[in-house]
Amino acid sequence: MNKIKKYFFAIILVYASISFGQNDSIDVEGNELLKKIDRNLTPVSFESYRKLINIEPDGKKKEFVLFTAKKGNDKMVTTFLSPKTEVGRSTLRLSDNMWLYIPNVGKPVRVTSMQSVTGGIFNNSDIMRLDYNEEYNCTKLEKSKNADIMTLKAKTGTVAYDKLIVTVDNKNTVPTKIECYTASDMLIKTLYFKDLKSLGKGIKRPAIIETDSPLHKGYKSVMIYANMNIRVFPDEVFTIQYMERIPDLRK
Amino acid sequence: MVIIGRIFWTISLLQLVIFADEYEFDISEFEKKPFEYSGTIEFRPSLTIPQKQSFAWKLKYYENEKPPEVLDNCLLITTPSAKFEKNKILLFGAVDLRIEYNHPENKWNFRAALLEGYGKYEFNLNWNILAGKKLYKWGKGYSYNPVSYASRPKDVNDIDASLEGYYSTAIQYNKSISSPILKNYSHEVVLIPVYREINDDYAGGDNHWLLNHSYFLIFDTDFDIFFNVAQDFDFKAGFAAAYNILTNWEIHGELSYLPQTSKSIIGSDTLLGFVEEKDIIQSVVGTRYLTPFDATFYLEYIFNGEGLNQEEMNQWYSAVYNTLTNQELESISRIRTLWFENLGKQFLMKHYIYFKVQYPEPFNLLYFTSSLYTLINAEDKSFLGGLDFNYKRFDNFSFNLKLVGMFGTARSEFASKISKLKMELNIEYYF
Repeated sequence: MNKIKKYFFAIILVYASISFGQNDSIDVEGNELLKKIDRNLTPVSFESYRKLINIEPDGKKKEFVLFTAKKGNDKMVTTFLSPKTEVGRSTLRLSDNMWLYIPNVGKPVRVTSMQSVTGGIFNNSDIMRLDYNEEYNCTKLEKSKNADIMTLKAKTGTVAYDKLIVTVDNKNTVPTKIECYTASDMLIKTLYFKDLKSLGKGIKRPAIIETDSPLHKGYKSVMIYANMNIRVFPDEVFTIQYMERIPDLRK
Repeated sequence: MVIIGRIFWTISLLQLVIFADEYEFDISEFEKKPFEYSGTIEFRPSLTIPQKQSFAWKLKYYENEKPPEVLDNCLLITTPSAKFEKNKILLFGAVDLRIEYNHPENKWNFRAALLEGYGKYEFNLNWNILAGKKLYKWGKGYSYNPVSYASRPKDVNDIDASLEGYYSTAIQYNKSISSPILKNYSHEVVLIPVYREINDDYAGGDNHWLLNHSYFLIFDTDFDIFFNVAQDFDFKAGFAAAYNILTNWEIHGELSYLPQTSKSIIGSDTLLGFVEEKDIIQSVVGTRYLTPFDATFYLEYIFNGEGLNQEEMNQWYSAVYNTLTNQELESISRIRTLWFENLGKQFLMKHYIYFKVQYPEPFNLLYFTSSLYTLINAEDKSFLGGLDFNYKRFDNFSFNLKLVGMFGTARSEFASKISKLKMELNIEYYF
């Protein structure tokens, strides 16, 4: 009887160590893959121009052009360059803090990440996104020959989407599709990454992200990247005092 | 097989061309230029249904045998601005030019004002110096900013409107810090001279005012400290803070301290008097909350320590009532001037509640934003209520329709104003 008990506990111990070991390896490997994806999508510090196009079910479009500057893991600013109704409207993200500056208002105001600044499907979180590995952990990695599938879980409750399912182009280590879910597993939107090309020195990534949402049937939003350059900005650029001057960062 | 391959290749190429054309964009038109300009042209007609029983209406139209049934008004406004930047020098100017037609009075009014006009020299990203006419917007409150010592009061019905600055000179310092506690601090020292016609609407008498605004970002909370000192040592001090409790829930507050102030009251003899008051506090505490369905709620409690109490307001109402009853034209003319000079402003009394709900894209109407707001006088229970609809579907155009109503008993702040219901359309073109 004692021998049976010993064998039983030994089997439990071995099974537990294999299970935990497997989960650890998935986390580590998945999170390392996530870091590579982040670096392929954007450098640590960069500037870029983006165009957002909101497409309505009847084909009508409205376009917005933004300039973005990012530094490190937690600093980002964005300003609208078009249309004229939005020129000068700027957003600053500093870790979990976000402020909005509107020229007429004349002072920065704290805002929330889920608000939509352009109308349409994209919101502040999509436009002011930090690295995925800063906000998510990989909890599951399903490997296949051409496309791995990663399941990402938000690290904190402050992140816009609780869960992401990422389809990865293994050859280029960039996403081809990301599905965004709430904590109750409701699909909010899907991002499709397209048109892999060189955007600047050493930067090759999908230039186009198309988005649709079951919550806005028939509507589509498209984000187009252009002219992404590695550039390191002084920290003072990412302060509320500088928000009025963000458009002047352009060269 | 070869034919299928060629067909596939042709389709792919075609897709590439169509795809590329649809989603390409030329950034050269968005690159920075040394000289840039922008502005708006607004057409703003409005229609006001008057409160004919209000004291303000009776005073204004007492001698008028046929007062108008409605007040209609038309404004054409342009606010161009221009900026020139080279090396470390920045020059900025913004003007307000408007033509107003007032129908009942059949009057044309013209106004040109320099909103801002200043030069700035940037030593580096930490230090800069500025001189000219500048607008400083301080404070965290949405509807009320008691710490905004260097700017004019906001209009509750047009909170985001451009305001006119004051002639001043300023030194600004800004520093970012890599620390988990203090992430950023800045100081702004401003000198506002008041001399003859220069800044004569800032404060009375020839005097110079020195203001300081210090800002700290500590533990993800905005903290602001303000001082305002005059040459004769008259001073004000203030404090403001804002913090996100959750990513969708923000709280803020402001407090201003005035050691001494005087306010206008009316005596039973209908003569204007002044009451000196000490240790005055003005404050606002508020919150902003974004719901899962994208509606934003604003709620603020406002305390204006400088405001009139109910008894002092009743003295004004009684003075006007008695003067109108006596029907002496000279007295009516005198009290009319006193009324509009002293009571023609916002936050007359002490306790107010501001509430607003803003809901973008109701019924999935893209680029359409609706708002409902109210400002309640918590003492006399009168209030103003407004509906606002904004539409920005077309590039460079904004359409706004506003309805504002005043409600209350005859002897209450909002019901004693001229307007009962005002409808205003605003068509704005941006260039």
